Amino acid sequence: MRAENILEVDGLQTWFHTRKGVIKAVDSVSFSLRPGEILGLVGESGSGKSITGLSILGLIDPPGRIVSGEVRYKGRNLVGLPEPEIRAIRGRNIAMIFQDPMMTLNPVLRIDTQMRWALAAHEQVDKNAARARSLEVLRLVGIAAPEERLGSYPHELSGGMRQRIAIAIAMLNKPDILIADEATTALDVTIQAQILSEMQNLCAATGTALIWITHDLSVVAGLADRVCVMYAGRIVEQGLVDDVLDRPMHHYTEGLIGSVPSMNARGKPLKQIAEITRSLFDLPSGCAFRNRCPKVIAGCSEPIPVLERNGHQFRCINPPVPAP
Amino acid sequence: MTETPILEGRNLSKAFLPPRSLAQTIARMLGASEGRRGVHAVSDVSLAVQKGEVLGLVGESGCGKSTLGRILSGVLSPSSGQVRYRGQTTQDMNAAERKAAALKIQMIFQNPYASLNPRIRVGNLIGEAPTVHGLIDRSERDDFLSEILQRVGLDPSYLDRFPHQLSGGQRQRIGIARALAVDPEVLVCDESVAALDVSSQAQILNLFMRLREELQLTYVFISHDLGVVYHVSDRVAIVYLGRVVEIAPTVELYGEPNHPYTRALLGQVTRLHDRRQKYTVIKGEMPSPLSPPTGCHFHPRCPMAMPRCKTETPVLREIGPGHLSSCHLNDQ
Ligand SMILES: Nc1ncnc2c1ncn2[C@@H]1O[C@H](COP(=O)(O)OP(=O)(O)OP(=O)(O)O)[C@@H](O)[C@H]1O
Ligand SMILES: Nc1ncnc2c1ncn2[C@@H]1O[C@H](COP(=O)(O)OP(=O)(O)OP(=O)(O)O)[C@@H](O)[C@H]1O
Ligand code: SF4
Ligand SMILES: [Mg+2]
Ligand SMILES: [Mg+2]
Repeated sequence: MRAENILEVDGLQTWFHTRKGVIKAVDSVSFSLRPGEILGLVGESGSGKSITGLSILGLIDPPGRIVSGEVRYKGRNLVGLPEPEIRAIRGRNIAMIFQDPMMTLNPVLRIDTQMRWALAAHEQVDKNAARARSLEVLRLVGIAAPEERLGSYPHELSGGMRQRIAIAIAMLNKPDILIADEATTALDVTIQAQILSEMQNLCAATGTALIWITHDLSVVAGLADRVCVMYAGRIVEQGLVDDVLDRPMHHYTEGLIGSVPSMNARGKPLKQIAEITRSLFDLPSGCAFRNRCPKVIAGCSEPIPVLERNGHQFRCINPPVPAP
Repeated sequence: MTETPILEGRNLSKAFLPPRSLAQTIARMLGASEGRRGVHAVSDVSLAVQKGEVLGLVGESGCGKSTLGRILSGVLSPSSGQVRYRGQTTQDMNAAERKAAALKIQMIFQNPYASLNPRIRVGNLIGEAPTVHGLIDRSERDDFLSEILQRVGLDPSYLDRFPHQLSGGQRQRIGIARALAVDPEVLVCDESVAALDVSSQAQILNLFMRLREELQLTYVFISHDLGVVYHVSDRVAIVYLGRVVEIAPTVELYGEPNHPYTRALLGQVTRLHDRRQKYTVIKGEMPSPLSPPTGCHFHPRCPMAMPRCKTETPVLREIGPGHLSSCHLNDQ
């Protein structure tokens, strides 16, 4: 464990054993996170982003299982920890927010009650201290008139407001790591911009590290320091946002970037990644992208090692920009 | 623009009223005036779509885009105002013309999961309307369906599948095939790519653009994604709380936005080249459509608001060729 890392995910494999076969939802995933860092996790639907986030928190239910690998939080492996021990970490040291804020919020409880309970789950607090801390985090996520909001029920709030409250609850115990899964995908650009700007300030001010899961590359471009690109359960490329988005070293990343409308001339056909009918069970051997890749060569069907150039890692033996 | 628009809305409004309570029903029977407070989803919107163009409709959630789209496509009747197809309202048409006109404007719905009946096979989903309306004979049905599927980029073998056996992108294609099956002239596409990831989104947008060429289609393209709308639209209308606040040719609207709301909205766009972005934030949230602000609906959030904006509704008027905006600042 390098001292500066707060989290290290190392060779993580989370598989689903279904009647039709094994789905390798997360397959040999490794990355690390430093305090205050914002890491984007991008990839198409089904690529394994959510399962990666849930694996870190030990929230995988059968038929899913972490088959191998480690998730080290401050050097301590969380995989295989007994449930009470992982529960003590979840919500307190590592918190998660979801696309639907109602995964976090209880519809029948007032916001102040929910926040008090979330605090009480991890430490003894009196009512006044709980209220003070609740108001503090509500302000942190940009809620106007937080005193009034404490008395509201979730259904009295707009979608954007609910999501901010879910984030505030996640921030209550000053977690070291926050994992946000498509947290602004369902929201309008205006609300999304407000939340993203609050998140940036938050990480800078509190040192909380953030894993931001999304399929929207342009959000990651504007928000994150580093990015991991997932395809078919693997991280095919990771590095600094500038390196990965300006000089992609994997053809999947290059294809994703090319298909964003703003990267194309207005009104002209968008560049698109070749279409295939995919099966979750029979992924191609070697590089899983090779049946869609424009630059496939013979060696692509062999196991692909992780290559690296100045901290920019990629799994491609014939990259868009040839390695010098 | 002297040509008759293919589709036009004049002074369209739509209010959704909550059901009357017993007390209200009695009061009404006794002759009291209607006091129910409704959601004004669309208020006095006029716009015209020319044959062959793509008109983008943009705005935040709840601003009334879908309601407007449903009114334009004839799925929903307006509380007041009229829709004209090739210059004629439905009252101007006889029964046969009305039926034909209804098929010429097709809507593709927001949610490809909810809008396709899960228990009906793809072939029947697509084939039902053209068969019922007598557009195809039973004998030519199979060829017809295969041809339509190929048009939307799917293999004819999909005809026997059920919707749940398809991915989001494939379902969206079925929704498009279904609309195309009745030989429409105008497609109203409601958030047709919102649920898709970037790669499927690019495929569907390319499909829309190809079909436009091949079939000379006209589109009303509803989306909250400013990047997507910029890419596909010839003109764009910005909607705020049930009103069109600005409408202009796309490049002009994005390059020289006039209305303070349009300017604020464009400031929120996330772009691939913007790194460690400083987000410029519109203050406050969108007010409830149950009690919209007086005067200019945008005034509580507008950085330029003047006393007049609180009391007087600005009119949507021409500020340059084909560029309309509704802001009092333009009077100064
Ligand atoms: N309970 C489950 N049983 C079987 N397979 C599952 C289960 N949950 C997830 N999977 C599979 O694991 C893979 C990864 O899913 P995951 O939800 O992580 O994707 P994702 O990248 O988050 O996609 P999205 O962008 O659609 O949210 C998918 O192929 C999915 O079908
Ligand atoms: N059938 C209905 N009954 C009552 N209110 C409705 C109905 N349909 C829409 N509304 C209301 O009308 C307003 C406009 O809704 P609409 O669905 O047109 O917005 P939208 O711009 O399409 O939003 P979104 O981007 O979320 O799809 C909203 O306040 C909505 O709650
Ligand atoms: S009319 Fe007034 S409040 Fe409305 S946008 Fe213009 S300046 Fe702002
Ligand atoms: Mg997910
Ligand atoms: Mg809508």
